[in-house]
Order: sequence, then C-alpha cells, then structure tokens
Amino acid sequence: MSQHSCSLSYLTKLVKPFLLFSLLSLLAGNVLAKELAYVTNEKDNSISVVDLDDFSVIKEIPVGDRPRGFIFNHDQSLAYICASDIDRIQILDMTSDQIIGELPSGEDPETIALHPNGTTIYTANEDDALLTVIDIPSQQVITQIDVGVEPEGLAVSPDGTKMIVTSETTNMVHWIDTKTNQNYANSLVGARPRAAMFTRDNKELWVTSEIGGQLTVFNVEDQSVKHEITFKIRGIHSDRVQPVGIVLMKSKPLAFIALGPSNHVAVVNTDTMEIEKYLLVGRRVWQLAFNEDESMLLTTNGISGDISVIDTNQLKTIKSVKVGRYPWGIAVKQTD
Amino acid sequence: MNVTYLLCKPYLCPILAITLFISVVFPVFAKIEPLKVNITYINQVHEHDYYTNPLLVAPADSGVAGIELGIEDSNTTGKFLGQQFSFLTQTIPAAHSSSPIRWSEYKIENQLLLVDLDSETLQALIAHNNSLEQPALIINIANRDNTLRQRICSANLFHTTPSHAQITDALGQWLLSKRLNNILLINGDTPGDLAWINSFKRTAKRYKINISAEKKWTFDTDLRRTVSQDIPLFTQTARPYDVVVVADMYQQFGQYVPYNTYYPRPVIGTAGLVADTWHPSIEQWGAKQLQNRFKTLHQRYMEHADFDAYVAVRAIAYAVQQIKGVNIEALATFMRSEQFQLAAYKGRKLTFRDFNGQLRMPIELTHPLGLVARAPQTGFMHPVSELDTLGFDRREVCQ
Repeated sequence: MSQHSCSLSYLTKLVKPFLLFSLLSLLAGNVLAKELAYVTNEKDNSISVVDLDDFSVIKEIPVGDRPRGFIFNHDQSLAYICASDIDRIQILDMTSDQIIGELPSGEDPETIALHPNGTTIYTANEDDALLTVIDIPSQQVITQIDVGVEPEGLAVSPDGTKMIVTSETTNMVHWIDTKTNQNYANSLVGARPRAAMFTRDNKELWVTSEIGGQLTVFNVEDQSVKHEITFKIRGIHSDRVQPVGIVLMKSKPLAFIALGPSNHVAVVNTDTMEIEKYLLVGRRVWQLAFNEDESMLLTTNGISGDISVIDTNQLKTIKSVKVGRYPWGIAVKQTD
Repeated sequence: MNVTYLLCKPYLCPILAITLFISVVFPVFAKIEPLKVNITYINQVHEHDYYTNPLLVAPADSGVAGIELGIEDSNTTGKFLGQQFSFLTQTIPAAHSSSPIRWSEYKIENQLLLVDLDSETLQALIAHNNSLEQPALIINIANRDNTLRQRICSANLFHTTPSHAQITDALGQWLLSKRLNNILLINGDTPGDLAWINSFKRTAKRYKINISAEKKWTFDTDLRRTVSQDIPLFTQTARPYDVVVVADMYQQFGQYVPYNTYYPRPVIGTAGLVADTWHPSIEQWGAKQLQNRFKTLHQRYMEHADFDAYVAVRAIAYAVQQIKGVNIEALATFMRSEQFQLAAYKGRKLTFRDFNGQLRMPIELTHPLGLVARAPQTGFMHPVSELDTLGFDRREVCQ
C-alpha cells in the first residue's frame, strides 16, 4: 500500500506539466470534444465516469450486480454491460444514464463483444461453459455454443467472419465461424488464456495466457502459431507477470499488454515483436482502453481500485484516478 | 460387427463390407475412439478412538465431491481433445497393526490413483508400488503427515494436500509479519495433534518465534458449563504472551479458547485464525467461478478437502492434455518438470516440487467467515519460488 502511495506522489509531480499543457491548449482555443471514460466497478455494482480533461470522477451510475464487461454500440448512444451476478446484459442509455433494457444473456455473463454488423452480440457465460449469441433487435438468443470451462476472452474479427472465445480452465482458443456459429477449430495455449484480439487486417490473432505468462500470436488463416512472447520484469518474480488485457494501436506499430499483479503494462513493437518498455501502473492491472486519438491509454487496476493514465507519446504513466472497488471493464466515449 | 451383420440386407452388404474393410485397413476412416483416462480413488475408512466435535463432522462426500467436479471440468475440456475422464471409488478398511492392508491383492499396476490413506497404509502402498514393473502414479489428496514429504521420495508419488509444515509455516509467517513472537502453545492429546505440534515447533525454530509456555489440555472438566472460568485459569501464565497457538485437530476444546484467554490475545492454530488451502469466502483469481460450479453440482460450499482432491484431478488432466497420452512414466516426469503449470485459482501457477512431489501452493489464513491473509507473506524470499518458503525445501528432504 505504502509503495503505491509513494508512486502516487511521484505521479502528481509528473502530471503537473501535463496539466499545464492542457490548460495552454484550452487557452489557445484548441478545444477538443470532451472525452469520458466509463469504468465498471465489479464490487460496487456501479460505473464510474471519469472526465478525461481534468481526470475527475464526475458521476457514479448504479447498475446491476457485479458489472464486468462493458462496450458501446457503434454510435456510442448505448452501452452494454455484463451484470454477472444477476445473469443479464443491461442496456445503458448514454444520454439519460438510465438502464433502458436488458438482453437475455444466459448465466453469469462476463465479457461481451459486438459483431461489426452492430446487431449481433456475443457473451461468454463463465459458469456454464457456453458462448451465447444474441440478436439485439429481437432481443433473442440465436444460439448457445459449447465451449471450454470458464470462457472469458472474446474477439470478433474486423471483417466479421470469425469469432474467438478463450476458455480459462480448458487452456484453449475456440475458433468460431460467425455465419454458421460452428466451432471449427481449437488451439491449446498456455495456462488460463484471458484476452483475445484480432489485428485490423484480420491476419493475426493475439491471445494472452495469464498463468502461462505468455502472449501467443496466431496466423488466422491456418491457426498456426506465429510468435510466442514471455515477459520478464526486473525485480518481479515471473509467477507474478500475468498477461491479461491487450490493445493494439492504430496510429503506431505498438501493442500494450496488461500484466496483472506485476502492476506493469508491456509495450510491444508490432513490427519487430520486441518488448520496448514496461510501464508501472496500479495494482493488478487487467483491462485497457485508448481515448479517441490514442494519445492516452487507460488501465483498470483491480486491487488498487483506480485507473492509470498512460501518455502514449512519452510512454509514461502520468496519472492515477481513484474509482470504485475492483474496476474491471473500461471504454471511452466522445461527447460534444 | 454384429450389428452390421444383423442389419445387412442383401443389396447393402457389399457397401457395408467395403466400409468395414476400409475402416479396418485405414483406421483413419473409422470413428476416432476417445482417449480414456480412468482414475481410481482409494479411500480408507478412518477409525478414531476419540471424540470428534459433531459440528466438525465432514460432509459425507468430503473430498470425493472435488474429484467429481474435477472430472466434470476435465471432460468439458476433453471433448475438444478427444479425451474422456472417469473415476471409480474403492473403499478399503481401516488398517490395524494386526491386519495391515495387503496391497498385492489390489490392482495397482499402471493405474492413476488418488489416495486418502493413513500414513502407514500409504507407506506400504508406496513400497509395494516401487516393486512393481509398471508402477502406478499416486496422488495423496488428504494426508498431511510431514514424514511423507521428508522421507519418501518416490518418483511416482505426489501430494496435492499441503504438509503440516506448509500450514504451520504459513501461520509462522503471519506471526512474524505481525511481530507476535511470544507464544503460549496448547496441546491436545491425539496423534494428529502431536504431528501438528511438532510441525509448529519446527516453524517456531525456523522463524525464531519463542514458545514461552506450553500446556497440555487435560480434559478433566466439562467445558460447556464452565468455559468462562476454566479457560482463563488454564491460559494464565506468569508473564503475558502475544498470542495463543492451539493444536487441537478435532476441536475437542480449541473452539472455546478464543475470547476466553487470561490475557486478551489472539488465538490461532486449529481455532481462531486457521491456515488451510481453501475457504468458501475465496473469490479472487477466478475462484468465484469454481465456487459457483461446485455449489451447483453439490449444493454446498467447497471445503479444503474438496479443493485438494479437485486439484489432483486437474493436475492429471493438465498433464494428459500436454503429453497427449496416459503413459504413467511420461505423466509423472511431466508433472515434476518446469513445463507443468497448473492454474488453480490461487493467482499464480502451481507446480510440484521435483524433490518430493509436493504441490507448491499459497495457503489461506481465514476465520470462520472470511479470508484474513494469504501466505507466503510479502517479504519472505526464496531463490526458486516464494512458495518454497512454506514447507520443506530441497535440503531437508530424503537426505
């Protein structure tokens, strides 16, 4: 704990020039659209909304029990929230901050992914070893697909043809054809796979294994393994380096991997597949999200109950913001 | 074959014959048979000649409930890999010195065994197993005897239940981290209590914790009536202690000690703050999902005996998944290797100590309704793994 507060005061020093910069840009009339980060608090049954101009928590929205996965629809008018303990996906209206509906989700939905068509939503039912496919307009479950024990990470390829679910206890990546909803291939990976992410060209799939401590990059075409990376941080035992969330930058050849209880985020160069840097963030970091222009990367830190803000130009952690208990999912919204 | 024969109509016969011929000659055309993984659970009737607190009587399916969930989870995984797991229970009688178990009468050869046996019977099993041409892979899921970890280093023996030493070291680390190093130790009088006490004394020596007084509970009063008078008298010492450590495995008196000590001090050991592998309040690192699955299957909370058994099945399943077979020698070698990495809801991978087959694992310190801390405590370092600060290290084993 004391170590963390130490790094906090260090961070405040770091953040001063940054605040000055934001102030200057405001004076120069270079006012950008406001950006708000939405963070689900697993233990507080709420969403904290953080204003990314001054990093203040501007509101807390009460939602269903144990909210975890959180995504927006395409125009960011609605958000879908996995309320795991009440076995529902809740629909949050972004203008009124009210829950305006629910989708049938199967039991214990943990994560969600939206198909590029905007009408199909996928959710992993962690307790039942199922992937549920839901049609949003009709609010109907299209099908449930048998997957391994504790399905977790979901990813839909940008071209919409494939979807991925990782199962934590089965140590497997399940490949699913979105047209037929058939599981057409399974690949074993390191222990406890968590997150999956397609590259924008649909050619690679990135998967993290939390206990295995690995990042595996697959060739999507034939499911062959292209790269395998393990992470090493000086002074931290390898057992604590547990890769979880992945984000890939559009504007630069960089990927960021959250490394769980090692309290670091790895920066990977996607051209060379070299690890460029490890950035210190809050405790047990798991999910990551960029703001719109990718100048900032936000991390949810489960144990320290805060989000860290990383400046992606300097590759430095510049700020941490206290939110609710066990922050889990995160997404950034544009407002006018 | 018979079915084909019976169904064979004249016009279909040639087609079926060709199909059969192909499937015999080219097995690849035939339906692939799943790899069958059969596990035997050997469970001994335990007889005690002393009283056990009825509040502490374990559920009838204690332990085996964990095996059932482990098999179910492994089959969910197995269906993607063409592996089918099953288990059967074999109950053997309690052993007496006059009538030990004759292991030669049991089919042990080349089996996957999960065992819940007393120390003598387990040692006899290991001796018998070592003499076999194709020895079994044995996982001890219930016996915590330190001797089994220190003296027996059979390549085919594993323990997924911790040793007493791992448990008492976890308590010792907590004492040190709280700077409580002046102890009143209270002993029960069962052989289990003695084993526990010896283990705690080893811990105390290791961490330089001072046992300033040691008393043995004499069972000459009825505690239910006079608890508030008896325990303070019993725990009175000339000088104050920091903490009371109770060694009473069957809760014959230990549960009456907290809040009744002569000096108002915490109670740990087998009452008050206890150390074990699992507790219903654990929910981090995906544990909540395991708790939910267990509760759905068994309509009760998962206890440590269930967890120790569950982990054993998962260890076998993971090894089978990785080596893609059931060869006992290959499985045992793999399980002791560094490639073995078991995710078991403890926040870090679990591995077996290659020198005695003991599973390295964090130990949970709990009170009846919640988690207090987890060992190893921060600051206890080890060149190989912090988890090796709990229990016996390489140099203490099989010397």
